[in-house]
Amino acid sequence: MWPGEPGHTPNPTFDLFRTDCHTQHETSKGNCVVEPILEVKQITKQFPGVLALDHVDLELIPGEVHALVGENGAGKSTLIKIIAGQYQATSGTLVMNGKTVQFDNPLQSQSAGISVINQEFNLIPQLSIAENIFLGREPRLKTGLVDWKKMNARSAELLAELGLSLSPRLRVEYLSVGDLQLVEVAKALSRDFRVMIMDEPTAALNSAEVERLFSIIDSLRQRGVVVLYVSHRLSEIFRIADRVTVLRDGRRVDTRAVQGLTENDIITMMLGRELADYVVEKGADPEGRPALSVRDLTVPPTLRGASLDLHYGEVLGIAGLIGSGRSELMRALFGIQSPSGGEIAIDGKPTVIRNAMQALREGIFMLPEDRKLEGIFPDLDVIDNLVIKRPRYDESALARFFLALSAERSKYQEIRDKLSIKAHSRTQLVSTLSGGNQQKVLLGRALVSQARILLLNEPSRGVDVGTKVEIHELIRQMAQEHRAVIVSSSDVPELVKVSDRCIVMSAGHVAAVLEGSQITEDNILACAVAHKKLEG
Amino acid sequence: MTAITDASALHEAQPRGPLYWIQRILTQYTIQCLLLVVVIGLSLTNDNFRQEANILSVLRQASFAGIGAAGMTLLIINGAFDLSVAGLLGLCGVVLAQVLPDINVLPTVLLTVVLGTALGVANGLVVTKIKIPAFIATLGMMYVYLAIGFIITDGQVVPVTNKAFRNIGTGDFLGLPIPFVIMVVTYVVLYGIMQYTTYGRFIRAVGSSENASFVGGIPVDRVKIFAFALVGLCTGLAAVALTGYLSSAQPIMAEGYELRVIAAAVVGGTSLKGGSGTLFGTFTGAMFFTVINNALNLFNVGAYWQYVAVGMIIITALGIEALRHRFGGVFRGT
Amino acid sequence: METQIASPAAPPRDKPLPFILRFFQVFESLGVLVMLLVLFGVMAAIKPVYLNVNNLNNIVITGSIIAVTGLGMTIAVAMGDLDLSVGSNQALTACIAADLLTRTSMPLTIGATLLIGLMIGVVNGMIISRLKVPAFVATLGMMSVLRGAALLYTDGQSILIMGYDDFAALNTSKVLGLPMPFIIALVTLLVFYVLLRHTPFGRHVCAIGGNENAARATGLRIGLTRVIVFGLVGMAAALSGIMLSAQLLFVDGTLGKGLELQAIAVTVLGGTSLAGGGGNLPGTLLGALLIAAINSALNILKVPPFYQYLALGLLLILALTLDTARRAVIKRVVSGGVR
Repeated sequence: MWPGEPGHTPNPTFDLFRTDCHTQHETSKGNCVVEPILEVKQITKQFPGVLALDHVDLELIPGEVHALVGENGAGKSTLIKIIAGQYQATSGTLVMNGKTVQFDNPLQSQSAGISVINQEFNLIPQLSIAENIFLGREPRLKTGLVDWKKMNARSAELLAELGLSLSPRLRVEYLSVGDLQLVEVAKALSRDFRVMIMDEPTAALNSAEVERLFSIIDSLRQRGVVVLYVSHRLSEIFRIADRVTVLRDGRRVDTRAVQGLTENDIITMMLGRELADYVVEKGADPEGRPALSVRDLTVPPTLRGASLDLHYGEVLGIAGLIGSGRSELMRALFGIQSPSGGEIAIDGKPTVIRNAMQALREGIFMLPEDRKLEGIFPDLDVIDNLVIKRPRYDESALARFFLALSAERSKYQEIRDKLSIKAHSRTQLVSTLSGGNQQKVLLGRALVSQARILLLNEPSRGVDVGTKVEIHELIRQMAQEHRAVIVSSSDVPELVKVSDRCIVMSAGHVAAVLEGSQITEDNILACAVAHKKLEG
Repeated sequence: MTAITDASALHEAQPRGPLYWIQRILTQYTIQCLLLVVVIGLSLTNDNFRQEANILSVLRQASFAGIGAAGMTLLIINGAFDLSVAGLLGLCGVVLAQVLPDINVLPTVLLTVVLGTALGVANGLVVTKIKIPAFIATLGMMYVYLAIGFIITDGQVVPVTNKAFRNIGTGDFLGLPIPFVIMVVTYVVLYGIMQYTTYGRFIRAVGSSENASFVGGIPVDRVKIFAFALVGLCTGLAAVALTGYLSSAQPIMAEGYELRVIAAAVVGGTSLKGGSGTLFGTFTGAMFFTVINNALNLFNVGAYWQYVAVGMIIITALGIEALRHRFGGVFRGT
Repeated sequence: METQIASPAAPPRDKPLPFILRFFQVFESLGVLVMLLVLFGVMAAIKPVYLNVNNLNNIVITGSIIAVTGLGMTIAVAMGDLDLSVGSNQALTACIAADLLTRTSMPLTIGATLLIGLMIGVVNGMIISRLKVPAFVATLGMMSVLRGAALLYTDGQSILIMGYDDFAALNTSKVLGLPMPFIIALVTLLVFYVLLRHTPFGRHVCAIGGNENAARATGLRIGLTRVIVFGLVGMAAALSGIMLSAQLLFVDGTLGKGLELQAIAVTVLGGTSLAGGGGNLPGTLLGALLIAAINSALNILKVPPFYQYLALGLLLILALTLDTARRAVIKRVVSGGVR
């Protein structure tokens, strides 16, 4: 049984931490006068040209789960990295248990009792789970050699605590994303710590794994540990956090008890203004011949036969947890992952799509899931990034070999104005744009490509709230211009906002097709999870 | 952090006094400034250096590595290396020396360049189709080319007696050494490819992010093979010039060539991570090395020291480059 | 202080690797052994003289000298780096050893030469970790510097080692019927194996090779580890330099050309992936023996020596091709079967 499940009795084995305050639950609601474990005092971080943090204060009290929220670029990551010793503050102090401390490197922070679960996995694929958990702190024999027995046994215990039935000797490269995240948690738990920092820990977890993580957090809270929890998902914050600190533009807006707050309150603090309501027009009814018709598309091992029809003028949402086959479906439709079976027809014509080049020629465009990894060319300037694959199929091979610079420039100006991309010159490096503007450049590529079928993965991931609204309007507009659009997203409210119809994927199949008023967050989540249970 | 790298925004914000421009020229054209300082220094201290004959000889010497370095720059921008160029050049050299007595000069030159390009394509195919890391695959290919060269010549030096051909290496055109003219033309053509052609842009794109190129529908393998082919082409040209200059060919005629061309590119500021670099920088880099070697000769420093000098310059150049990145803020004046 | 979780929790449910993956793990080291046996089989059939004791002795000695460098290289590859300067390093240290021998005692010569090799490696490591120059270019530069140093040290002349029987015995003597160089290679293998597989240091080397950013975030001392690793590579190259001068008894500054390629080739042949993250040291020893055996076979078949280049180049490409194919199969098995 896992601590935190209903009917749980405190697990003596997990009693690792001396608790200073026996009434954690009251304290965590913000009205206890316990000494904070960690105080961040007037921390400022100056990067060349950018003030990332501006005199930020933060107090972490034993036994609380403290959420840290803010838009991208608000300074959350920088703050965490300073606490973790990965960055050094320009000015300001960190006070741990009443004593001023300075962390020049991650090791010093760790030995002071701070444990960090980073957003990106810090695991070594070629080493075993046990070696990863104890990396840098390997138990040793008297001879100085690694004590494998002890290391594997302890790792096994930790994995069992987390409900993972994996051998500690298994190499990490064989693990799924969810397992990797839990190994990260095990690594963090294996240390002696008073402060645990979690940066977007649920990004890669399915709902069962999220529940397990939440019960771990719960039990940590009961042991008097502080959890600093960073997340974009406000619902999670309401679920587990006691207090929340909001950052905006490198400054602390406020720290408040979560109880009594609403999502709107937090969004207002993050934005510095009220979130304006906006109305999107939902497109026409899907009628006539489908633009794209997919039957029993299979990509082993995750996608096990998916069928769908996509019509011009509509936005088809695709929901599904990680591992539901959602991203494999998109990649197979774009030809960059090869299906083992199934049929794809474009405008009623059966087509085999072998690679991205061919997909583009067929009029299909895909916005990649991971902007940094698969989207932008960081060393190229904005205009090159935008027009990199301008379609010129009607020109001769010789003409295509040379660039048409003036045509590119006018195209750039057109798209920049249409999407209001904020770049001060077309020769600015794309890597110097903000995340939202980079995303707009990638969406601009969709317009440049003149594709009729758009496959958009996570169109607003990692962009600020304002840009998100613009992107949603753009997606609706692209559908109104008679394109066929698929939006695949893990952001359920986004799907509710933009889709005319919404497919819910689960365990490699299409679990449900929701239309019109059926498209609600509850329905989508229910379909995604319920089917999963049936599948076992 | 998205915001830290916003260097151009910083420049925009700075007041543009003379100090700013000096700083900017020094950071952007470091190697060019360095070359200028060295040349001026040598001209003032050494009478022999500033003789016209010596200057022309430097230009000629610089061309042999310089021509190959042009192609290598594009390949490094593309994110790969070719360590086989020494073997490739040797093989091209012995083949051309073997066929020269039987056919005319022009067909020989064409044949050599085509052969170089073909060998470059072969390198590209090994790298892209078998998916072996470029530098190790080409290290293997170097020995393959070397061995084929030895097998063709049976280990003998092949003399070149054709006067017209030797003129390519030793003659002048409009008062400039012919190899130097070839080098300048090569740089101009490759510059044109990088600036005005689709494949030039693709070369940079693939070097910047191979994943994004794959997803973006860029024919990644073809672009890489194209870049390797350019290296082969340039090396073939260098083989023509060098064989003409030496009046003979043997498989090991270009020992250490890969080191010199990579050095020219790297000292010229081409990033080993791919995605960025300039041909102008490489051009200057090739000049720089030759000037240093020339100076060592003029001051009667032994030939063995040149090995040491080349190695030290590479390490120093890369070290300075890395330090400049690390302390970027200082150099940018923030 | 470590967190104690001495719990009565459920015992770990062991989930063994599927058979095919175990098979590939075994194949990693056995592949080269199979090639070696096939070569011996073919040669025994067409040239029985190949298998006489003298020739085998030669193969083992030559192989051992390559292996010692290769073992060092394997550790560098496990860390995701390469050292291209080992050939020049071997030339310089071989010349220094030959020269010191005429000036001082043998133990002092060996000690000093190893120390010089270590220092060269440390300089490599410092350039890479302090100046942040990519290993492959830094050692390419050092290759040139050290070659120049070797030629300058000998002034382009050869050094003849005469009348030092105890030094020559490093090559000719036998222990338990095995040639001394092979014993040296075995001891090096054992030491490096324990170091890489069973010490925290070795695990950190593999961690850095597997994912350097993760290793940094974990707080491993990457700079120090890298300096030590390159020091070991340099020392191994120096040891092979001593062994080479004991074998040739006639050294000059041009020795060891192409050794970096041989060392990388034997590492890859032995089943170490250039991607880093682990090293198969016994495989490297076998790979070195294979290369020596091939060269010897070409000699016996009276093939001109430059075909050895061809063989080496093609073998390297073949080994890398197999490595690519093997990883593709493993990937398919993993994505299709295990999870």
